[in-house]
Amino acid sequence: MGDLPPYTSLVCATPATLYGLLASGADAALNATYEFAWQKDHALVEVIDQALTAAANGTRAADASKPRWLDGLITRELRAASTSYWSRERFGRVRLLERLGLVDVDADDTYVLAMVSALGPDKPNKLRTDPDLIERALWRVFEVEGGGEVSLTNVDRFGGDEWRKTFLELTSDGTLDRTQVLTACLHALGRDFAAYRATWYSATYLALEPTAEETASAQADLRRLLGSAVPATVAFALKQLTRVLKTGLLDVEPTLEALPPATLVKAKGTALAALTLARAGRAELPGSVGLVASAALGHPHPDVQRAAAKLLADLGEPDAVLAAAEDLTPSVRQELGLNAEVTQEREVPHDQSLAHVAAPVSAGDLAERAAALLEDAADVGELEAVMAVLAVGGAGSALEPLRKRAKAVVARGPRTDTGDAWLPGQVARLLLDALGDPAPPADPDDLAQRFVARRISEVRTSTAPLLATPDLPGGWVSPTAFVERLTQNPNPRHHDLVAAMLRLHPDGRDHAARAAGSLPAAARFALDGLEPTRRLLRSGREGPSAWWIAAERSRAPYAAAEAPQLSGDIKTHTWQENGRDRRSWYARFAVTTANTDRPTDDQPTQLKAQTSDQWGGGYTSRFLGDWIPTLAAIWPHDAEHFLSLTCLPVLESPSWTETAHDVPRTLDAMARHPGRMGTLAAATLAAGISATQRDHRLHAVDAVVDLVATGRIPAHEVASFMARYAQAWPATRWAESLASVAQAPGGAPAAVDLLTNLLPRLPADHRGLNKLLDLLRDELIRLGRGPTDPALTRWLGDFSGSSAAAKTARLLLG
Amino acid sequence: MAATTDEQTYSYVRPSELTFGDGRADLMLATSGGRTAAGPAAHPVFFDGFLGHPEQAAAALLAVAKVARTRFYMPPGMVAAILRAADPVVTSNGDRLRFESFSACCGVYARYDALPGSLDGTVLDTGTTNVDFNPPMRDALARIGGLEPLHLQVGEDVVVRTLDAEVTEKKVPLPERWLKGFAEVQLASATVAPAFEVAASEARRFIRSMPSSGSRKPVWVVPAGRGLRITTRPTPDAVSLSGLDRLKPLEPLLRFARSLRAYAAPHDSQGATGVWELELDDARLVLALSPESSRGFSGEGGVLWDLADEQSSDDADLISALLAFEPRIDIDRLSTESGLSTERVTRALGRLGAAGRVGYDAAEAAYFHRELPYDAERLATMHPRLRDATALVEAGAVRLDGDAAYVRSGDTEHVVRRTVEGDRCTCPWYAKHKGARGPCKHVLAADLVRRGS
Repeated sequence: MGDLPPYTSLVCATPATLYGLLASGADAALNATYEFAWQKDHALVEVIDQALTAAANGTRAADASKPRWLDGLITRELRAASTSYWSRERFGRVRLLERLGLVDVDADDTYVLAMVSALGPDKPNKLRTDPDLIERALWRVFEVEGGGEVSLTNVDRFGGDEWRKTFLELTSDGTLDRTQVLTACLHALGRDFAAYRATWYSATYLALEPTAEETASAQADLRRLLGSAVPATVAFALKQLTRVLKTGLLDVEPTLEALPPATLVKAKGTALAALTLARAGRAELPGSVGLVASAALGHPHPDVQRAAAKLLADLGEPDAVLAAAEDLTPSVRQELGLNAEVTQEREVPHDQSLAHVAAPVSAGDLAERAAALLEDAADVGELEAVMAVLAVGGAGSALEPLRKRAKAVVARGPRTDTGDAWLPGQVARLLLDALGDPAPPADPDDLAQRFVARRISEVRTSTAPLLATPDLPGGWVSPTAFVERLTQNPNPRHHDLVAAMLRLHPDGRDHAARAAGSLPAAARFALDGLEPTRRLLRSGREGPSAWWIAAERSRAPYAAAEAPQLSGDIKTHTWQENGRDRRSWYARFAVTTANTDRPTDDQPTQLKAQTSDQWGGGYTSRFLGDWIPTLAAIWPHDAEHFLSLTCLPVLESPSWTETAHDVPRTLDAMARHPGRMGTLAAATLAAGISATQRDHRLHAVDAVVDLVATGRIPAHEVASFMARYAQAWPATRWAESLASVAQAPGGAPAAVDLLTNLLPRLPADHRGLNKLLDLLRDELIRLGRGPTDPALTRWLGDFSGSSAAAKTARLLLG
Repeated sequence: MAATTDEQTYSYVRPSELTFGDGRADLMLATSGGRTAAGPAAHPVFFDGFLGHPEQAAAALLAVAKVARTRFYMPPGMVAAILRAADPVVTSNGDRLRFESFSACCGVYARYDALPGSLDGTVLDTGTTNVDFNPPMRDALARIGGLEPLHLQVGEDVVVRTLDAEVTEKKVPLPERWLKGFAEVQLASATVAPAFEVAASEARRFIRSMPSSGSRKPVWVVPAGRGLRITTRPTPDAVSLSGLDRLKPLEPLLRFARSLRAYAAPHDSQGATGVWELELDDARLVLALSPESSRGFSGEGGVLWDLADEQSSDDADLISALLAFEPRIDIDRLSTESGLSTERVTRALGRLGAAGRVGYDAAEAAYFHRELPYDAERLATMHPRLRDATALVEAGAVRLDGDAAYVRSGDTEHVVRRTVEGDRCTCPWYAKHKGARGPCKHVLAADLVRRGS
């Protein structure tokens, strides 16, 4: 908006004259053609600005009636301003037209929000010179919540607290009644506004710095806020009431009646503050105080339960604690001398859930199952099952209904996050090939993806059965099936044989080798491990070298020297907030792989030398999406292989708030992986339970149950990574994750093992340590055990002082 | 496909109001439209008396109103939208009052049932209507404490009021998918079975541990000892939950809770409808959550089988004539009175549910009669898949061949197969949803032709 003339320069102009000016200037704008409707509105707004400026300069036009377009335009302007915070002075024009009597607008919610959004700069002066606006709309900002981009909280957040400063200025100069503003803030907090939008009112109340007397006189309103659904509002009210208590002006009885809901607020500090406030009435109103304390026993946090139990004991009401005994945490029950429930430790560990073997595809359901893969190819079992049936040929007509969709999927690939590598695109190519309508081959950048794409593309090169179709859970190929298939397929597809050997199950190989007839030498070596004499001469090798590499890989995971290496650093981020230096820590990682500098498409386990930096900085590296289960299925012997391609988003998930879709997929694939779990696996798990997002931690918790509770990954390895990055990974997230692990069947011993290995590596003043100690204590009580690990008991014994952690440590030692 | 939106006009004799005085709170809920036992009514009058457990009742009413004003899932580009929420719907079933609302994102349904023990007064009529929930009244509701009795009027004497008051009109745009979802959530709820129940203390711990924002992908809630835990693994005995924050509307009521019950729709690894019920003193607060937070109830399509059945249309007409706003519809009674089998009565009720004419109460494991105060004809015709299927049939696009049907749609002929697990299709829609969101148009078209042949 350009500079509009002030109201005072226009006040002498009659509406009819102004309408005349508007009408005379609008013809061109109304008759022009526009691509978008907003362009016409924009032109009409220009007409308004020009007409008002002309009127202020003394230009006159023939009187006219109100232009028909004006009301509609103003309605749209208000609506736009009320929902978007980008044109900061839009409301000023509307208000000017309104004051001049040119438009008649209801001061409804839209109007109020438009004012909040677009009154523009110098608000105090605009309001002082427009008292009618204060009466019509300003007081209503305490009633209208807003939403999306427009609310007092949001507009002030991105607008330098202009509205708060406006209220402070207008109350200090007497334009607004201070008491009325204070009261309006409290009433606004009593409305069911969202927590985010409620914060403006409590912050403004505090910014007005109410005196003790003002706060005391507002105590009835403050008491109502104790039942608020917004925890921050309850905390605010408690703080103010505590202040009133200190002045001796608190009306204790009604305050005690209003306190019970405040004792159940999630934040421990708020609940404890409520109990502290309740203590004030102990002498005169013990019954009411007892009701508050009894309510607080229902709080899930042990500290609140302890404080409530102590208050009830002080009141001489121990029966209330007994009545609530079932709701108390084991540690509190034990401290109070109540029987703690002991859960028998499960002798049989939870089994890891391996990927199931997909049902064979029939001619009848081929089209449906292939169609499903075109929409989502993340189920690698289904992909293998469909490939297996397409390999043997004759399916063309059944796939006819999918032709159009497959073409669309191929065309879509380059526009997806994974580009030409998009996995449904590879499926679509296979289907089009089967339909005799082949599409140009894809050429993914990544070696492992290229291997899979090549294998898919060679499915239709023969009608012999595929070798690598898994027939055992976990994506393994049984040696018996391998031999049978090779017998039927003496000229195997190149990539398929590599894939099959990589998936060869370790058990039963000797038996299968003995029963086998003629086999390619590499396949026989994969089965029996006996080096054929001819192979000793490199030039005398039978078959491609990739077969031999795969055969060797089929017999053992990466050796220590060739396994991917993980390195990580804790970095510091500093910034200024409210004039103070703030600091946070985050961890950055690099995965270094150095098998070869010249990888080839048919050797997927050969890792190209690279670090995460070469991928573009870890978290922001490639999006793999539904490729992850397929990558994990390449080599069931060693999870480190696929993790070297996928683990970075998980490792960096504790430092990011944005959603990375690859985090849960990687954790899920790892949890189902049957192979060796090494450094990357332990680090990935440790990072997963430390992730910023709760959803990601939930996937990690399930992975811990699958991998640590079953002994697939030793607890001490995970604990070692947690301790190494403890400065950057919050202990509170660990406490929550490990509590969830403990709740799972067979998970409690794993949680205890992790804590037993982790705690002695943490400093005694580590932030959040007491939550971990509390958890360990609760779980040991539940399991009917005590701390027996020598390192742990030594570490617990080193605590001294009166910190909460020191007290819990002493309680743990009994 | 462009979404269609109709404007719903609420017409109240005056705004609802809550006043305090004489040691009690007086809540007058203004009514607009709907039906009573006697037929359509402009301003029904249902109840005049006291509502027990006033603080709890006020919190429950606010929770229901809040759901109507909440978009739990925000599609891209919607961030600036201000919600103009539909007013809650109240049903008087004679012995109880039910307050219902439906979220703007079409994925969360809320209902507060004030059960017989909480009503002390005169039930003046049965039926369903909209009630005005204006901001000042909501503000006043938030100030109700535990001590003052709460006097409630649902509707008031219009003749007296209209002498001195102007009618208050309020227009709210109601998208088609919202209307359809509000009706169809009942059918999704009717598929649920009890999964677990936990004590109030565990309910508090569990719901308060929910984050304020949640993933769209479903997780599963399973009992663990005395409590509950969340797993990401699809588990048949669990209740699917997508968007952990969608349970937050229960939070303000937790301090009044006696227990938390959950009901699950048949297991689906992609997520399934879950019904969560907070048992209160003489009341219940019920939330029904769609299988995924980004997926509203309107697209579920479970009702399409019933709607495609011409016989169920006639049956629904017959059954609707026998309904009398009962709190629990007795299928056996209806079967006896109508002469229809219980299966046909159930299908007819499904069809009525799609038209917003019955609701489902999981706690009672029964439908209840209520007629959503929206255009019933419109509700019944808002099923594009059925419309498209009918068009395919009329165009002669369906060819039957034994257990298979060939349905030509554009330049592709899709194959629909009958299997013991249900009908399957080769179209992308079926490939994506596997029948979990009702039949595709090709399956429906094949079914229509089979029924007709």
